[in-house]
Amino acid sequence: MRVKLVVAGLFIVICSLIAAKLLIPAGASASKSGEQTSRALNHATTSHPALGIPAIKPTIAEGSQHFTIADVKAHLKTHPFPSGPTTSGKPARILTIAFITSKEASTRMHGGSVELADTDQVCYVELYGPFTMKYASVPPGASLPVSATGVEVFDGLTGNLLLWWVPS
Amino acid sequence: MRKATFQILQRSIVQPGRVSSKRKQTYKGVLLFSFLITVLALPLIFQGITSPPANAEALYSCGSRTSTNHCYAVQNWSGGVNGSRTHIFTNQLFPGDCFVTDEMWLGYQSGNTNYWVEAGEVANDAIGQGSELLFWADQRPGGGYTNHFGQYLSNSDFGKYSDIDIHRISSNQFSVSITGLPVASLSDTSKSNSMNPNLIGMGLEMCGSTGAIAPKNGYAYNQWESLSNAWSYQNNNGYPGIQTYPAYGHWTVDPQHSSTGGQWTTCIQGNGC
Repeated sequence: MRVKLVVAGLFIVICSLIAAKLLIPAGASASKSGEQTSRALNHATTSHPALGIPAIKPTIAEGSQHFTIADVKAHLKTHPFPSGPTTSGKPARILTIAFITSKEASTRMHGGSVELADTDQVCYVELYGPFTMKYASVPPGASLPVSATGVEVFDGLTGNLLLWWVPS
Repeated sequence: MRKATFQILQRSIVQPGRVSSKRKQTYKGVLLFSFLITVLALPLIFQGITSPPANAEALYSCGSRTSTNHCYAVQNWSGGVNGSRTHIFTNQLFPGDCFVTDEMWLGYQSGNTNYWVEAGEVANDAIGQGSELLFWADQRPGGGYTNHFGQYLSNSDFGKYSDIDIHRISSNQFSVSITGLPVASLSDTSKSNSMNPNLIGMGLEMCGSTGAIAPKNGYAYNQWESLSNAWSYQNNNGYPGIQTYPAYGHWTVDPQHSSTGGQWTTCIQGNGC
């Protein structure tokens, strides 16, 4: 009887492991699932479709901005500018953190797209590096952008990072 | 586990009488079979559940913090155009220590001057633990460089075609869209962009020095939009493809012998390429 139980147990363990392999696609990870859940929560609190990638966790339930300047500063401490680290290896210096309209952010970025409606609130963050441009995608033959300063724009409601920009 | 299994085997052998010898032989066989299968299968079972396929340790030189020499497997066409389209297959990308893209560019190039709008899929080791997402970017005359983050690809988005479309909609605006996937999509406009495109590119871009993986992904239904806004399938191979190790690209269907723009295929040499 004991032997039967052991055999049955082994069989169940093997079947479970094989099922896990078949059901979980390669590359899927628990952390990614966590991020998708976070996006879903963010989405539920917004008046427009969730855009960008999860970044600053909202801490305010109401109003036109759902997080604070302190939340932004806390995020920046652990997340370097997305183009790449500073050339010195030191943390970037914060020049500006401002809650402004999408339209105003576009104007500050020489007319660039911010994806949201003109009146939607964004958090406009300007940093001083200078920055490496390791993560800038460019076509073959083009030079990587060069800039001492860089801008990150966050959705004022979801805290999602919409874009990063460097001036010419 | 191995010790326990052998103890059970020993007990079943030295405790006669509880089961018939024929049944005892059967149990022994099943036990041995189960033990062997478990030992042999465990590494295979756990491989790939949370990590990319093996073969991620190859070294290459595709730029670093201080150098800019990204690697490419890109096909280009030149000449004045208003837009371009392609369908990119979405086998999953793994970024290694930097990023990998499958994408399309619509650009202007003259001497050292480059402006462009680009869109596609990217896996970036600094974003979302390397999970693949949609993106677009532009370099505008007098407007700087902007990188926009789109949605992460869902599991059901892999193994499909994403339809990339970039085309002029006014004198200084270009529509950018990625459609066709079950879940992820992207739609935006490159504004204040007065470039006059004379270059279409499509293919793989990567940076870093180790660990990136890109299985074969095809670029099909390749089209260009004329200055009079007429869309046509590509019917020539354009420039010779640009390839820098370990990025690899080749025509799997030649546009000259295709009525639907041919199929360019890219990958990173190694696993799945």
